[in-house]
Amino acid sequence: MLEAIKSRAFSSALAGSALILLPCAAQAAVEVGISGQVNRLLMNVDNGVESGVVHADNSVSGTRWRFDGRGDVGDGMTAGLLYETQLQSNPSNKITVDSLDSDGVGGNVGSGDLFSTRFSYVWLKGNFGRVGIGQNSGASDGSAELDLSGTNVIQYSAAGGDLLGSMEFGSSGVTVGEVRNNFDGLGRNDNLRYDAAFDKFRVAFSVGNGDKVEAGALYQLDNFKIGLGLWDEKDSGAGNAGSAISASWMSGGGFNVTASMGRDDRPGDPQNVYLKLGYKQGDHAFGIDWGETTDLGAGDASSYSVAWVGQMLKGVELYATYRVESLDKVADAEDIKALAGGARIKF
Amino acid sequence: MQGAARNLLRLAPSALLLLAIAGCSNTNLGDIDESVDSREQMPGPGIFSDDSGETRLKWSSDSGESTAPAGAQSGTASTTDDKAEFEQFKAWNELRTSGRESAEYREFQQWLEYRKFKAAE
Repeated sequence: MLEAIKSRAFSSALAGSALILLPCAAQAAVEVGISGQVNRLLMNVDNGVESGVVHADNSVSGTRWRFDGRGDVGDGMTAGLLYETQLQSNPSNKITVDSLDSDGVGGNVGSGDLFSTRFSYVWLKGNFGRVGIGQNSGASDGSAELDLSGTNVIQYSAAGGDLLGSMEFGSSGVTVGEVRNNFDGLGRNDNLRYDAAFDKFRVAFSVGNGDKVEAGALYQLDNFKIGLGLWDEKDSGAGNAGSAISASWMSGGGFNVTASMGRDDRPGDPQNVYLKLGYKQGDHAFGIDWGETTDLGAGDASSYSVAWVGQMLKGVELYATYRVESLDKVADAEDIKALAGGARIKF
Repeated sequence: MQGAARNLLRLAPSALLLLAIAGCSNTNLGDIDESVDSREQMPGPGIFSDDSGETRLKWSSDSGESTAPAGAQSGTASTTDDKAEFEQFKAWNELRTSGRESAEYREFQQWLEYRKFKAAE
């Protein structure tokens, strides 16, 4: 059994997360990988005024597909590309109160469909590090979202916005997306990005449209990660500058802790804090989390949730969660309660 | 545009410092862990794909031919083999995340060291 595991681990290590050329092959070769996922959920939502059941595409990790290619270009260098498109029908973050008693987002089947390019970039890697250009994660993207719990397909520091971002707190006129934010850098944008690795330590810098600048640092072991992100939008967006830090640790017994903090300098100096405790054993992962965003929008908002994720079958992940979003200091704001279950299938 | 240039110049000293340190220490700065967050991509194989999680096409410059994995070409990958592979993957993943103190894991680390040693020979 151990020999088989070693064999599998070795081939997996060679394969990495995507593709790596056979290093011993004398001939140059190019490989292209095609992959993707479909991620659908069923969610019962009660915003204190109305309730109902909706079908949605889970925007925590939406339905998407990708091309990932790379090849040896000589002189010890590798070049590659990544192209990824998201194709969502009824994205969960677009679900409104009106969606609860209609044919979905926009009121009609298909009217809420979302097609967007997530990644479109090329890169070159060598002893000097890796340089990429195109639409890619900025260097600070992900700095508030490090998570080893195994439940982050349905529960992580920004899951409230991804699942219920357009849902209104009672009849307050305030939606979750207006008052929750995990301040996870500047996300994906068109940029020139440089990455370098020193053993377990990695740094990244990127410069994008509107003179936006980002920097990120990551230290990771198999059971521990900690990352930091800094950014300044300059002439793009609202011109905000901010920072985020997150860390996640898993014990040998499967208990895990994940924490995140982020802020930016828009009026009110909003910030977000997040904590998750989890347990992962075999095919199953469990988590309970709490998060709070203060001084963003109309009032202070918080949430808590419990979640289960199971991966008992090849390429299939099943999950369920119960989530409560709350808003303080705003008249007519009621808690939003959501019970959701779904599946992510990889191909 | 001028702003972008200024920002690049601000980043340049940091990049040059990294390159200098790497040059002095003979570090390969491109040795980047490219594993993807499990929220971006589900870990493990897909229902059609192999352990890399992708259906792969490969081109060789010598032959000019393109190939695809046997399963992808035939479209009838062995369910039994896939199930066994998935069980092995789960066992490995479990060992990786939860069995770090076990004798098996220590032996596995020694085996990785041995592979590095062999590769360096």
